Amino acid sequence: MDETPKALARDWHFLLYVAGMTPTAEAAHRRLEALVADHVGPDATVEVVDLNQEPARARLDGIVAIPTVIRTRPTPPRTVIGDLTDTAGALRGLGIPDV
Amino acid sequence: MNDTSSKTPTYVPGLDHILGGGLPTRRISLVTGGAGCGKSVLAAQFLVGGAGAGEPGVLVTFEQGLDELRRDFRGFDFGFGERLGAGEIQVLHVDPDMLPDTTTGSFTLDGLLLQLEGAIEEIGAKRVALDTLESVISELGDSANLRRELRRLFRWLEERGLTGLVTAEAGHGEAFTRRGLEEYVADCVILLDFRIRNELATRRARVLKYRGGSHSGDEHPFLIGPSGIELFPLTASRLEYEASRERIGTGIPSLDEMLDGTGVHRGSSTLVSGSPGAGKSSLGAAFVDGACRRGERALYFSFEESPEQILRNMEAVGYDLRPWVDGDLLVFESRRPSQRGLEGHLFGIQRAVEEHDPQVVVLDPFTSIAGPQETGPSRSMLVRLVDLLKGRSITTMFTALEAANLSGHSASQSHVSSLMDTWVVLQAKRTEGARHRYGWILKSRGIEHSRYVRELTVTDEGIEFVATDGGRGEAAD
Repeated sequence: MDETPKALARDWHFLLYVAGMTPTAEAAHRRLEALVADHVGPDATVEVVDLNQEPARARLDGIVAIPTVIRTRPTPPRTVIGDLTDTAGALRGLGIPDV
Repeated sequence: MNDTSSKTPTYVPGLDHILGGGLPTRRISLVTGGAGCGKSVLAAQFLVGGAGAGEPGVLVTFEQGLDELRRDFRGFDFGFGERLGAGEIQVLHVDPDMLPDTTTGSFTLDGLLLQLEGAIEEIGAKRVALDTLESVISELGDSANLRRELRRLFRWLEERGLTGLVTAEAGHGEAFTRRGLEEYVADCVILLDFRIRNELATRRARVLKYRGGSHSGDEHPFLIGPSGIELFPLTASRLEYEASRERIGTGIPSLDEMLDGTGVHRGSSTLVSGSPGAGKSSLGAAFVDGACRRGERALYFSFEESPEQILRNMEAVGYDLRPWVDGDLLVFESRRPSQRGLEGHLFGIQRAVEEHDPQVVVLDPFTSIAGPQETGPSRSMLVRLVDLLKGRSITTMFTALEAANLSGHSASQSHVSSLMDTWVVLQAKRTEGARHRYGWILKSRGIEHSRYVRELTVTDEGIEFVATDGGRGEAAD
C-alpha cells in the first residue's frame, strides 16, 4: 500500500447509517473501515449511527436509504447509499482519490 | 386482515361516488396524471378529509417543502394549514436533491420507513399520501433493488393499517404511469386528466381500475375551485326526478296557448334557439317576469350583456324588470364567457343557484359558454347542469344562438335539444324590406303543443305570438 497522500492527511469524518447491526450492516461497516484505512489514512474517523437506537435521527438527518454513508468532513458533505460492495463507486461518490 | 371489501371515503366531493364509497381501506391507491392535473390537491384533500373524520394523516412530499406547501394550499379554503397547525397532518419532506446519486451496492428504504414510523406514531396516522415517487426513482436510479423496496414500502404501510394514495406521472399508451408504479399498487388506480379543448380548460377524472369493487369507469368532469377538487359524477340520479305534473306559464300568454294552454312543466328545461335578434332574450325576460309575478324567485345568467343592458333592452319590449330586481325576487348574474372554462361556469352557476335558491333560471345564451361540440365536454357538462337544475325542481330556459337557416334543425343543437323537454325555435326574416320574426314549438314532451308557426310581435304588454293565418298559422313542418 502506498503512502497516504498529504492532501488526505487532514481531518476526515464519515457517518455510516444503519438500522440494526445486521450482517449487511456489519459487512458495510467493515468495507468502509477498510476503504478509509486504505485510501484516506489512520486519522480519519468512522462513526456508526444505528437508527434503531436513535430513530429520530432518520428524519433529522434526512436518511432515506440504508446503508447511507455521509462524508461530513471535509466539507462540502458527500453521500452514497448501498452496502459498499462497489469500491470504485464508493470512492468516487465520497470524493476520495483512488490512489 | 380481511379488509379488502371496506372503503375509506376520500371526502373529495363527488369522488367517493365514482369510487363506490371511497378508496380501498388499508391499501395504497394510485393517482396518476400529467403536470398540473390536480394530483397534489387531491392528496391534500384526502388527508384533510381524513383529519376531519378523526383520521390523521402523513403527507410524504418529495417536491415541495413545508413552506411551499403552505403557500400552495393557502389559496384553498379546505383547511390544510389549520389541520397542519392542529397536528392532524404531518408533512415529511424528503428533498430529492439531498438524495445521493451514487449507489455502491444493495440498499433498503429503512431510513424512509423509520421516518414514516416516527411521523405515523406521533399523530396516530390512519392515512398516508406520497406525492410523487417519481423524483425518488429518478434520483436513486430505477433498479430492481429500488422496485423491491418500493413494493416493501407499500406493503409495510398497508400492514400498519394505513389507507393511502401515491401520486405518479401519467404514462403513455398502455402504461398508467411513466415509471410503471401501477405494478405495486394494483388495487385502485385513478386517472386525472387536464386538457385544453376549444380553448377551454377541461378536467376529467376516471377510475381506471378498482379491484373487487364496483366503480364507474366513465370520465367525470371536475374542477379545481376554492374548495379544491370537486367532481361532477355523470351518473347522478338523472332518472330519479319526480316528473312534475304542475304546469307554469312562460310569461307569454300566447305562447302558453301554444303549449296546450298552460305552459311548461315545473322543473322542465326549455331550449329557445334562434338567430341573432330573433327575440331569444325577450323570451328569457318574459319567463323571469312571469315567475316574479307569481312571487317566485328567478335567476338570470347573462353571458353576453350586462344586467343594465338587459334591463334597458327589456324595458323597450315591454318588460320592466327593475321592480323585481329591487325586490330581490330577480337576480342577474353577468359573466363573460371567456372568463373561465365550462367547468368553471358550471361551478359558478351551482354556487349562484345554491345562494339564491330560485324557482326559475334563464341561461342566455347558453351556447356562448357551451361551445359547438356535439359530444364530449359540452354535452357532459350540460347533462350535469340539467341534473343540477332538475334535482332542485327548477324550471329553466336555455337560449341558444343559432345560425339562421330555414328549418331550425341545426345539427349543432342536436346534443342539447335531446336533453330538453321543450324546444322553441325563433327566426328573423326579411320580407319585402320589412323584418319579421317568427316562432314555433318544435317539441314539448308530454304536452299537446301547437305545430304552427306564429309571428312574434312586440306590444305594450310584451311579446306576443300572433297566429299568421286566421288563428291557425302555417304548419311548421
